[in-house]
Amino acid sequence: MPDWHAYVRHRLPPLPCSPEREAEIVEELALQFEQVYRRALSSGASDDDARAEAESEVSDWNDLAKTLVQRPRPEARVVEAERVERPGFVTEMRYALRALAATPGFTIAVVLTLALGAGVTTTMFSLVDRILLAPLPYANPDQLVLVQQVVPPIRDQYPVVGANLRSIAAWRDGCRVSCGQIATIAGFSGTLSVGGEPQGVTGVRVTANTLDLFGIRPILGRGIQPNEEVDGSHRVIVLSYDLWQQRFGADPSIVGRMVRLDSVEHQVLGVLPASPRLPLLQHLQPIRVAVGDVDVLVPFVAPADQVRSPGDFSYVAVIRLADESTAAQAREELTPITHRAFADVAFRPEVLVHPLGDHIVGKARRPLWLLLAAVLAMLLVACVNVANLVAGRWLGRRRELAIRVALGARETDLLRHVGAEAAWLAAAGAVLTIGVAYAALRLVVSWAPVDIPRVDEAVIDVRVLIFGVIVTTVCTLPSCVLPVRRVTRLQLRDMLDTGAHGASEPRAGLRLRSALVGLEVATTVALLIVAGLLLASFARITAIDRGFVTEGRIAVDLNLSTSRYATDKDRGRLLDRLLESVKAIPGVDAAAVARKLPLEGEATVDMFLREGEKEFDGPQRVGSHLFVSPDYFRALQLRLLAGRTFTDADRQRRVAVVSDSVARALWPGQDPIGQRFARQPGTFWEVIGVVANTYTETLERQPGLMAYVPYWERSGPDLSLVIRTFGNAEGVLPAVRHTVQKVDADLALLNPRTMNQVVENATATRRFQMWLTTAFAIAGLVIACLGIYGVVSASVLRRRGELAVRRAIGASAGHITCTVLIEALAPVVAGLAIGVAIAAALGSIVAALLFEVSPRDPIVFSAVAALILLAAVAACAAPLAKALRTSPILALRGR
Amino acid sequence: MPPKTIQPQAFQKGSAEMLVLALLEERERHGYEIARLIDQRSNGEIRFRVPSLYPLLYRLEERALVTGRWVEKAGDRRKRFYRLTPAGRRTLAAQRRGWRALFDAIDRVAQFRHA
Repeated sequence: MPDWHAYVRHRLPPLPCSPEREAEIVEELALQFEQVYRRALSSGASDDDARAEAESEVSDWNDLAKTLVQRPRPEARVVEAERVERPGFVTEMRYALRALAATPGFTIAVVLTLALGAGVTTTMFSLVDRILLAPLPYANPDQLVLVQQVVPPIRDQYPVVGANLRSIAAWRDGCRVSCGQIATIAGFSGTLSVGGEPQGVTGVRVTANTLDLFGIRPILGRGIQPNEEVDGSHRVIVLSYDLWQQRFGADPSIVGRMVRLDSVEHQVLGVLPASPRLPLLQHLQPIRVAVGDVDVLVPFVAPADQVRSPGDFSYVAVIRLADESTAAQAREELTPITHRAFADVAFRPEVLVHPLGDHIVGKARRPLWLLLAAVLAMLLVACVNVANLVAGRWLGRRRELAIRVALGARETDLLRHVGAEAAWLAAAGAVLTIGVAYAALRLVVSWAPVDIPRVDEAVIDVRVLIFGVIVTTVCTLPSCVLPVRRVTRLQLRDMLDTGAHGASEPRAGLRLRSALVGLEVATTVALLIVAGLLLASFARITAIDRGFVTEGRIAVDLNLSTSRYATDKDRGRLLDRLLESVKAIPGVDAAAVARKLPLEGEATVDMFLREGEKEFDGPQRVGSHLFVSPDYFRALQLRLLAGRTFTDADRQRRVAVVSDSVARALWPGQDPIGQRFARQPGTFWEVIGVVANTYTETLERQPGLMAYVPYWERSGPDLSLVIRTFGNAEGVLPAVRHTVQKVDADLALLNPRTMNQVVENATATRRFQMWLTTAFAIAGLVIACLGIYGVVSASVLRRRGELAVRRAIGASAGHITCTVLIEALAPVVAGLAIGVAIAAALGSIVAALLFEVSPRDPIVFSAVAALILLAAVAACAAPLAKALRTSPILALRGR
Repeated sequence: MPPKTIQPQAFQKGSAEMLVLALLEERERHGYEIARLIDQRSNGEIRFRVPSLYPLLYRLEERALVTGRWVEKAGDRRKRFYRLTPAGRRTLAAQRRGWRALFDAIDRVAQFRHA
């Protein structure tokens, strides 16, 4: 066999590469020759023929040598190219910064969009984190449970009530396995006098173990001792941190000093820490109670008549479970104990045991998740818009890209450049995001209605900061990089071809941006529909006939000292004098007192028995028994439906006015006037009038039964004074304060508010939720409109030649308008359809937040559709006008 | 007269490249094997000789579309085997798409599949 290696070696001219490489090439080619030769032999050729066959592989060795190894490009050029295309990190960042600074409009738009979207998301995250995710700020919070009860006879009107003292006593004695400590808490409002100036305070009566149970240690002095809660002879008080700071100037020697609470001297035992605080009472009680942080703690002394009563379910019972016990086990243990305790009564109350954390945040959970979803939707719109802006920027610069590619830049080089810009944008966005989040959180915390639990605990901490930075970065990078990848994949030909002067976008780019606009519109539509449904619900609620008039009415709370006004008679005499003096104030039309004002909660809840009925016999009717003064009906202009309201002339008779619902429930089809009803068998009130229903707690629940009893018959220490003025409600307040002080110097005007504010407070949570969602929806709408504007502008620019020609050959302005609008509205209509579908799918989730509005309300859906189309058309207006103004000559010349 | 075989030079450079990449897609092969397979599968219509095959292989290697390595087996001369890199795989896919589009276009114009 011929030596093919020597053959190749001999014929192949020297190659421009290393000797080792050349040797390898010679070896490989020799092998090829050898195999051709062998195959020829094996197919029957003679040795000579086989050799000739192999040698015919190469005819021109010089030519082969030239093509085998590519001559390297001159050294200098490579180095230069490296230098131009791959600048160092710092240089790259500097280029990017300069490029961004050269287009301030783009940069500001992107950074603001990012900061708004990510900032609001961060705010919501901090709220959700603190309210829903963080454990309660107490020691071993999982062991804390709230115990509530269900009383079968009244469960229709009051599905859940608080705990009852007879039950609590039975639990204390009988619950051995699952219960650790049991604390009893009852709220009260009182008047604190220090140095003569009375101040209204929110207080709680607590058992001695309460602070220990929550794991709260006083920062000064001590808490309440067990011996101080026994007989009520210990007049001691523990102050909250805020009260100590504000009222006592953080006096370190406060412990042991005397303060007057409800005209009785109390000795200060200690001061509570700023955090953790006791939970707000309104989050522990099923019925609305006084709002606000606890100011003072006094020992809980069970009222003698209540300890064995089967009827008063108004106490808060918090249990710290024994180790390893669960709420379900506690319920199993407490239920038979309770039933045994009620063996002498005709009904068996049930026991509900809720983990405290779940109970406190329970009602806020759904609205918060909804808001978080709304915010994330807005963030998505913001990201898409950034992607749209970036796509527009790079499509506009695609000639530059084309030149870079022509000079040898690879996709990764372009991405490095884009990445550097994105890094700057993300950094600026992150800084602004934190600022937005900080401001938004402060706004939310100060505006949030008190019904949103734990909102005051929300802070911008390191975790939230990290979240904000991550959200901004995660939004920025894909938004900046993905559209650019799309652009760099465009064919070089496309990049250089379209538009004689390179100012317009290629069709593929526009399609991308249109799709992004469709996505923005879909998200915005879903948001707008949810906001619209909440808005419609709110409108329904405000349109409800409340049954009373609010304009020109002002109310204050009064807290009569129980030591000085111990009996109904004492209180009656004081109120007589007080009302007389207030009515004499110029500008006051009518003044009245009542146990509770409409929408501020239940008064005394008790039975409504018809004459001749026994307790818990027949259908159960429970409702509010409210003591009021005669002018109450005139002060609030309650509509009188039948009979009359009471006057001073009725002082010797037991008369009452009832609401329409009472008349219908007790005496259906009969004349209620002259009928008698009772709370307990034996003592009857005669009905002398019927007034329209008013709402007790919320406008969202049907008004219950309500009886109005004159205050001289029955009253209590906590009451509200409502004043009807001739117009300037707030203007009479100083005179009222002065007058009240003259009647009793210890009597403070607590919580002054107009009746309009009362209605606002009752709808505050819903209002808050509605405005927040609406704000996000509007932000989304604005961003989507900017997106539409951008795409239509680009489209008009791209087609300006074509449109100009059409104009020149006689197309009407209307025709051009149609052409542009059809193209612009296509993604909007598609997005609208998707958004409507999303909103319809969300129906069942949203339904729980609505009031008398269907989650698929056709009016809201059509209004949103109309709004989005109108907004889209408005966003098209400017580019359209530009298209119509363009001179055909200039357009065709490409200027 | 036997039908004139198509010389690779007559092909567009891209098509020769695609043939080689396509053969390497199945498994790694050495130079002679590639040339043989092209010859066989085209029924001798297309022939790759040294001046068309090896410069092409070296160019592909330089562009990192294929990698070559020497493999020595007992009782045999050592041979240089080539295999496809991920970049080569992507390039092959792109070229296939391009050719398919071209064939479709030609077909639509000339209707040669129905001719």
